[in-house]
Amino acid sequence: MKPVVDRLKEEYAGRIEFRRLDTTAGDPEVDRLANQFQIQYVPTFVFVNADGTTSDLLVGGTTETVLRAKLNALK
Amino acid sequence: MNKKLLVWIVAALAICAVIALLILPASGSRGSASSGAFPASKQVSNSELRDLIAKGVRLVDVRTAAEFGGGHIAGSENVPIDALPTQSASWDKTKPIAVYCATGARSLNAYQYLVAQGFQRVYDLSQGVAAWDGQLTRDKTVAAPAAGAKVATNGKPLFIDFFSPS
Repeated sequence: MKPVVDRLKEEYAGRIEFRRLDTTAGDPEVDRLANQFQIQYVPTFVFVNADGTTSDLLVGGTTETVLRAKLNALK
Repeated sequence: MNKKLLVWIVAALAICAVIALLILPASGSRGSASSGAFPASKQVSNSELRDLIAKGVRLVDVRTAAEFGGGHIAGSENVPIDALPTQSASWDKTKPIAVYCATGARSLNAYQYLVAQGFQRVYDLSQGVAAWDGQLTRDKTVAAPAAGAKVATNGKPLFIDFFSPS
């Protein structure tokens, strides 16, 4: 999925912030977010609106079309 | 007289046998019509599994409950591989079943087990959800707490990709 995410990151640059978080890194902040979203499977994609509310959450591999649709729905 | 009676009885039996031969195959095919559309047991690809789901196959996720809770193919039920022998003992062996797991290893074992137990039509998603190109559904009870929690943003919408390098 990385090439797809990288491509979208470039496309949405300046409009949407992209964070790629390695769940195995042992980073306390990543662990906190992973716990918050109860991540049990990777990849998991979380879509957050500008006000911090969760718009959507996708578990597992998906298509660029689906990701783009979710990104476009963000407010 | 007895010979005549015997001839009539034999003739009647022959007619009954012919009628039975004509009727039984027809009723047999009617009885299995629901599974007639399903192919023989085999390993299946993503697109083949989609077809099977559309036809109403029983979809079984043999991963752990935690893995299942993290995301599963819509419409599947969770029967961890360890529980399969007990759970499947009461299942109808004529009904088609598709199994899957994370990568295809556990589901291959499940597939082989179910075939060995006499299940007539069993399908195994050969590469598991790791290669599944559709969406996975997450239990609402799992997602609910996260949905209510806010995430700190820098004023812009945020996309988070939780990944693992391996």
